[in-house]
Amino acid sequence: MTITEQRPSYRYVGTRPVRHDGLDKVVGKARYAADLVLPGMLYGHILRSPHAHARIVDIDTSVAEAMPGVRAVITGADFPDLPADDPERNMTRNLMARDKVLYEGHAVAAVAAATRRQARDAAEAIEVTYEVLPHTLDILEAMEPGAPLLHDDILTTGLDSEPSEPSNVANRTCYERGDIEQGFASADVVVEGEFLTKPIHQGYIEPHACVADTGQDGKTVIWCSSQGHFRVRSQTAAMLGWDTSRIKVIPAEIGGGFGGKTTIYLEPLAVELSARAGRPVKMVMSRDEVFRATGPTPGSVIRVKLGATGDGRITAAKAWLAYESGAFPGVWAMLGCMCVVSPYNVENFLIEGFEVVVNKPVNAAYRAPSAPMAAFATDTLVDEIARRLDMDPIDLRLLNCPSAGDQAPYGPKWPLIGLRECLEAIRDSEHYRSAPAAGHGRGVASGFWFNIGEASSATVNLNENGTATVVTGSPDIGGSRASMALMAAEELGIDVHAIQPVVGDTEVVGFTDVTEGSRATFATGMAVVEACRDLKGQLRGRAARMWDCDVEDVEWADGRATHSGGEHEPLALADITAEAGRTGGPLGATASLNARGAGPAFSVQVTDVSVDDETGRVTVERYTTAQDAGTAIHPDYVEGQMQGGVVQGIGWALNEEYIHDADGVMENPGFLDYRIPVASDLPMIETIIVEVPNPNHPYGVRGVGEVGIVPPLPALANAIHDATDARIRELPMSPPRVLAAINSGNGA
Amino acid sequence: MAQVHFSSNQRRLTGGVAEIEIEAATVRELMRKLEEMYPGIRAHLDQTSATAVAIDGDIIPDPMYEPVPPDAEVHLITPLAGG
Repeated sequence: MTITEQRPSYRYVGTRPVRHDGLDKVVGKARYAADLVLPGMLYGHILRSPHAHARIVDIDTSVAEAMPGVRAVITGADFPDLPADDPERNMTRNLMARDKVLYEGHAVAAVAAATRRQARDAAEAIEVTYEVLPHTLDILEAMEPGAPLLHDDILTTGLDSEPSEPSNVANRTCYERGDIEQGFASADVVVEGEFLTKPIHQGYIEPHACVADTGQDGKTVIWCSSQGHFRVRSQTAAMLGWDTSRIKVIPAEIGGGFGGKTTIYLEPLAVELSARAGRPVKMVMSRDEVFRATGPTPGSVIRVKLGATGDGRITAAKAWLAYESGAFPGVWAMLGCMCVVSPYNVENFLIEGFEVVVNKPVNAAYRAPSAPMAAFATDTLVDEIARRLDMDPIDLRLLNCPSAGDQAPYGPKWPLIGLRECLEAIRDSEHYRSAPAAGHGRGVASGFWFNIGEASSATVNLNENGTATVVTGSPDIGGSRASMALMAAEELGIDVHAIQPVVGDTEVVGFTDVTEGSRATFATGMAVVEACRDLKGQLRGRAARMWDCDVEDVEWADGRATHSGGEHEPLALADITAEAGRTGGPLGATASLNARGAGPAFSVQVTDVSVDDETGRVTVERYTTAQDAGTAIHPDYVEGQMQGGVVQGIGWALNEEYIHDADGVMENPGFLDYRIPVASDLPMIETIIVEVPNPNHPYGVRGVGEVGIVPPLPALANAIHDATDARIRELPMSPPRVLAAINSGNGA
Repeated sequence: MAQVHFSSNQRRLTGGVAEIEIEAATVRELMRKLEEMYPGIRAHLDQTSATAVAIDGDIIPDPMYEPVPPDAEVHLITPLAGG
């Protein structure tokens, strides 16, 4: 279902053609990085730390190097040690430990050998002498003075006075507005709570994989699965100390990323092994390695206090957020601070956030990074306010809903946004207007994410038969190729299946930033539209040449050139491309841009759950999500993104968590013990696409890939409370925790 | 004149000033003038990862050459990441 505010009607945009890459995926012909086999190819294997925190005293590779089939062995000492102020230094030290290992699973050495088994056996024969150090896994413990220090050069930034001692707290972020004391003094209702979440993994089905082939000319070709092959190139170059022009990266199909493939783990190791062995090297992570050494999203401790008047207006918000960033600092707390009260107009607030390193894998982005944990706290408390005031939770949110021109908590004024429309869409939905079944509980929540622009390039070539090839640099993680083809079809006026959308490698298309921040259809789509508009100008020129008239007399509409004076029969695009060789040569255009004006995204969701009061198991009985897409270029894939975000949010809320033992060793690094939702766990996720077009995009696109994961955490917490009276403030709300909450009678 | 807004963290460097007006054609010129007014603020922005700007609500991650329209509202913020 789509609710459109005001936008033009289009011929192709908004339709649902079969995706161009669909058949290959369905029949198993799509090629992923792990599918590639090259002549003489070796297999790489990584030796990983068994300790959460230890000093590397010695690495002896002599036995491994002499083992059968072994062609190369590398350690951290084989890579340049980047200076402390290099922005890629932490990335390189995550890919291969140097002086210390900082988490269980941290890479220590790697081997290339003729077979997988030989590589594994040789890696296990590498003798590493460790001096085991005390470790810290808990955010609050890591923040304490005297906690085991991961780094001796982290001095907390953002404090009122410069610290003199290193700590595990990398930075403090603060946002403040109005008079917080006065805000709470004017409140009739005050609610507060502490909310805990664990690290969870992005859970992509395809493990990280790559093949590198380094030639004697000092150049290398990498085939890999990533969300951005230009970043693979730059990060690989940084780790190797190479010039980027020595590296070509060919994007393979990607089997899920969700943010976790916006950085690299394997590629420089494969390149270095290949350079030393003189053979191509393939590296494919096991699921165990994916869990222990990639991703996850941060765990968090968040304390929020809200005040509201008796009629439901929120007067004050106070938030304290601590995000663990794993072994190296990130930006997670900053992002959490920017999101924590963003779906609400609050005049008085104090938001304070802390970034904390702990002995766990280095965190990576995950759909709307940091926003879900923040929403879990805020939207749970908003639900408590609604209950205390006996208000409808949607009405409460509408009363406090920001709109264009209001000041966002993180500073700027909101541009045109669609939060109100999403709230109204849920309020008016059949789901919300129907009472929950007997015994079921209902929860509502909202969520915000920024969306971003960044750099994109596109080349559009017209073929002699009137078809087109659209080449972009954006790996397709959610159906973006189909969106590119639809926008090109709309511009050129030709059928969408006369257009072949292609993801080009680093040597055939201009620089393009990572597919992240819900940006591909927005920013790369802008580049496609710009290239097509250039082409339309060229087509008019060619028609003028064929008609021997002024170009000003040629108009382009509906895929054909027409003469303004009606002196010539219209020329279809194929008529012009057929003559291209005689009218000036092949027709093609390239556009590169840095996209401005990304449109913020909001989602509002409602869910009904049942709770087994004997086991604590939560069953999601019904779920509806409304999300502002701006304009849905291909509604199937918009709905798919909305549903995927919700499903991952349900997993986060109900089951998923990293479990470490006392030594910092992960105890559940596999899908048997780390429970993600499967189809049989879920109802059909009902979708309502709300379209409040982004005025900064030629078709009004906002980007849809992320915000859907934000509301499920509080929506489910609120629904469980509605069903059981148990208010749960710690994730996951797994059966033991739900049962304990029910039995303790902790209603709120 | 552009209106430049400072977050709570940044106000430590501005002596508590929350908002000033500056005439600048580009972000680079704006940063140069800010550094003249508040020595050390650029290093502080780098240290706190506040290397992006929001100009009239549009967040620009690498903004040094970006034009600053007259009467623009400018915030100094962290570049966004995404998943």
